[in-house]
Amino acid sequence: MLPAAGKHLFLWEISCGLIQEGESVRTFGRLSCYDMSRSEAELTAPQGAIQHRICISTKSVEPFQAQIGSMYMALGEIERAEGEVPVLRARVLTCVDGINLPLLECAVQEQRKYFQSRTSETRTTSH
Amino acid sequence: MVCSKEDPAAISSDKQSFWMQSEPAKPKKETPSLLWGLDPSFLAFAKMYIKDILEMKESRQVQSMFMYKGRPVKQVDILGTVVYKRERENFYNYGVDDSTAVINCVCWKDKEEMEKPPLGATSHQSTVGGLNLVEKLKKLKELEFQSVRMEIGDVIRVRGHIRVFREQREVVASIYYKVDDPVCDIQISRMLELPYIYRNIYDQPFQVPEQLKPESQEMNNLTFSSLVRQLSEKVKSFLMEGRVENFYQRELETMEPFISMASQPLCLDQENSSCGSTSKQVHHIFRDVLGLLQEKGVIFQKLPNSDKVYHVTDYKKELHEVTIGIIQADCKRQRYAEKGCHFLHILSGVRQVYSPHVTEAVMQRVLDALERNSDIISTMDKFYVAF
Repeated sequence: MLPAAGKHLFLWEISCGLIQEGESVRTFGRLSCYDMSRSEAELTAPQGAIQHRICISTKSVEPFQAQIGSMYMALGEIERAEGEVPVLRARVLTCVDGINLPLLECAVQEQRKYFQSRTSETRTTSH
Repeated sequence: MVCSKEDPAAISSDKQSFWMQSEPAKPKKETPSLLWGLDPSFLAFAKMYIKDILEMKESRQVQSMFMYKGRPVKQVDILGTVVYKRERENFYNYGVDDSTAVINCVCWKDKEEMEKPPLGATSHQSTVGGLNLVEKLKKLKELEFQSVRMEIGDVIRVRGHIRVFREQREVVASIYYKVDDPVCDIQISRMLELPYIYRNIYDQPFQVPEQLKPESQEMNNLTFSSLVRQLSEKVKSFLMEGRVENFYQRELETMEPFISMASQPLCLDQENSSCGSTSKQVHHIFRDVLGLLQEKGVIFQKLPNSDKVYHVTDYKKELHEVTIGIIQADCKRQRYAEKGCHFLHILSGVRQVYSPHVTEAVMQRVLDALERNSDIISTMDKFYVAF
């Protein structure tokens, strides 16, 4: 069976705990630490002055060659939304060092804007 | 009628209107399939969101064609992350995720690839001879082989057509390859590109070019020229069946099947805007009908005046006899004995003897009829003899 689509979310949107459990997402962040024995890694992303972080469960993607300090793309399901740090169980965890983050942000916003304009259009036409 | 399986609401609303009216009324009219070729999205590999590929409606006219906002889509171009993989004997199944949805892609294996032993079994030993072409070719093949073998997390680009298999839509790849995108540049540029393409192309309603509209309307609305064409066919078959030799325009104008046809209401166009009343319209139509038949050589006049008598080329014995006479007489002369007389020579003879208003089309029709009857023989193209 095909898994659900991992929609683009910024790390700070996940870390603030608004995403429900079981939801499929993809996000980008810097690998700050990796605990091989617990199969847990941590991704961080700054937003303004605040450093946001989420925990990545790496059980499904091991063996995992961790490069601490590199940028990673994680795709998977939110395993635990509550608690101090949300946990994302990764199906895909790829190193994307050198990614143009501002451009990526812009691309994600563009895509969202487009889909929003479409839903608002159908709403106005259905009324 | 094919309804989209994915959209139960569309089916029920379709059925309702189907039963309420005798003709299946469509909630939104589809462009006739004949005009699909004018739409650039037709047969192009449309770069689309996977969500839209899964949700757009199947065409009512042609199976396996899909309509996105009225535009026909058959083939798509997608880029995404491989999130599912299954290897079969002849193909791979890859689940591709572009962050809007996941779709299954059927990627056929290369013939050679199927015969090849699995990766790893190939030897890497003999790299010593740098000029060993066989080895190099092997390596190249291996690289190619690797580019079609995806692992979960790889970025894949697929171009192919949409197919419905076991009620699930999938893309059957015509080409597919692993995209080397270490810093996501290609994915980002695709994400920036798609909203632009959607806004400027896919979401814009497809307009059938203006110059093509009247022709498509002709099927429903009668125009002056189409009526003239139809009526000329009717008149022609009437003349042929009745073996009519001569007639006047006023005779045709009073014959019942023709007059009711000619007085049908017409949709206005530039050509007939000048004629006001029905009788005027009828007169104009018959004038054009007879003009058309004259052009084709079916009928002719010895004196060009619409009040005068018209002759039917096939049954005007006099003209046939005159023509044979000219050819017979000239073939006795030394000059024409061997080759026969040329078409234009015969025509000028007929114009002198019979009528200066005989056209080339009429002449050709007469000669063809005589030849069919074995009264004359053509020696080569446009040359005729008679004995």
